[in-house]
Amino acid sequence: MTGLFIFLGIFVVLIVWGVHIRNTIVRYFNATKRAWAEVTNFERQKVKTLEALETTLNQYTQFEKSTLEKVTELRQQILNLNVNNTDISQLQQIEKMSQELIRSLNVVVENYPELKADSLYSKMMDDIQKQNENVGAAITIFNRNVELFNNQIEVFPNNLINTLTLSKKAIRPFKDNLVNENFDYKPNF
Amino acid sequence: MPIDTVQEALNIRRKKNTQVFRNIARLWDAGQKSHSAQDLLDALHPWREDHNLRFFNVLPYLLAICSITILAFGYFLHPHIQYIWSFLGAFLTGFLAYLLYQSQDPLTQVIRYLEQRMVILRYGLQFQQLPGYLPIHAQPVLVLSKLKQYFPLFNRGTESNEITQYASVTWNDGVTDHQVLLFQYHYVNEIPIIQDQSSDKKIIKEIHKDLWGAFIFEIPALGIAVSNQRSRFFAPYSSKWQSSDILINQELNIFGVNQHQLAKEVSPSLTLKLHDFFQHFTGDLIYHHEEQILCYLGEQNLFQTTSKQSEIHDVSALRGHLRTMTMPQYEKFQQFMLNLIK
Repeated sequence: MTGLFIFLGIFVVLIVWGVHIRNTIVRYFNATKRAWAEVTNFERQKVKTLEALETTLNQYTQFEKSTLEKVTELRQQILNLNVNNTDISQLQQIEKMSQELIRSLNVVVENYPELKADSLYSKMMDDIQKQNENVGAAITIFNRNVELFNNQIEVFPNNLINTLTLSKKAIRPFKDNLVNENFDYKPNF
Repeated sequence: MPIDTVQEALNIRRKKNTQVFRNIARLWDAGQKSHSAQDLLDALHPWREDHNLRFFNVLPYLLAICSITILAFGYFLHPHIQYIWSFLGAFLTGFLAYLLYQSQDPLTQVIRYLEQRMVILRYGLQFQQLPGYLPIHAQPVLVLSKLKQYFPLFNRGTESNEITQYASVTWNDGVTDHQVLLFQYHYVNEIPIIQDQSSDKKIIKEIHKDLWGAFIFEIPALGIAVSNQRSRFFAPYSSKWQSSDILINQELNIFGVNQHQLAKEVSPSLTLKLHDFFQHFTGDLIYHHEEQILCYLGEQNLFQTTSKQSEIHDVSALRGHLRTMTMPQYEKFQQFMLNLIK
């Protein structure tokens, strides 16, 4: 009789442990989804500022067309960013364009002292700066969550529980390809 | 006291101690006249006199030994010499030893003064002064009491809750000046301990503890409280917030006035900055919900100084001590707090 209780006890403990692991995987997955939603949310916040920036730049009729086109294109890319699924490649594209736009604005604005002195323009640039800072932080949080989630589903025995109950796949973290291209060193993973 | 005067006169007349007294006077003067940390160090080198910073008490110690010896021998020789004479002899030599003994207090005092002066000159800390941001005529006691009311973190002691030491300083993050008031909070708790099971006798044990922190002024009133010590916070910061970061949720507790305000204010950037800060500090941090003040209270001693020199017996050692003296906790606090608030 005692043996039966011990057997049942071990069985119950194993089930509780398995449920705990499964729930942790679900919690981590949801936290990663939320982190991704924050990345897209902060990217979307930039759209409004970019619209206002486009209007302001249009007032300077002789302003370089290429920069204006960059603003429009970036806005469009952000609007196309998938909120529900982690679309890393598109986010990489947006981040690259965003960096290029800021760089070209900083160069071009030197030729337009009136624009540089425009308080509305400086406020918009400050806003973009803050939004970029938040996007950067949101991406960091997303990557940290991705690492924890991937660890959670890949380590033993969690991988067994995941395969049996959830079948979640490892999420690809965000990488800045532009920065990676500048490194000679390439990690072998 | 006449005895004190006699003692002082005797000590000054002893040649070696006279030089030490002269060194002490020069050190006080150097401290008062210096306008920068380098000025103070330059005033100590070259010294061009005897460097010694230790009073010679060989004679008083010998006299004290003599006194004890006379007392002991007198006891054994009392069949031949009346004990009263030995006792009188011992008393006189003992009293002379007392008169000639020079305590190290004047040295300790001047070293403390120079250390504090160095902190003022190097770090810009103004001890027992309120920041310039507050009205000039404000009474420090009233201001501190008001600040303690704004942040009910100061009720840990059942018997006493005092801000015993404070210093104002201005920080610059490259763009803005921030007025800061650093403080040491001392609290006392009384715990009754039943001594005996059979009787009702209780021993009251006092437990004294210190915490250190800072009030930072002209900070946006975000209404957020963060802690890595407590899992609940007092009103109005009673609404708990889960950030999107799994790690931060495991290590930090974030509270606010309500969920709407928290969703608006706790951005990813602020979340990461808070995490960076609390990786190095243990305590509570509050952005006030109405006043533009931030308060941090934690366990690290922000006034702690360290130096490579431990024993100070001469002016060169004192200079080395002052030169290498730093406030590591304060420096770290300034760095991470500026990163958080800018």
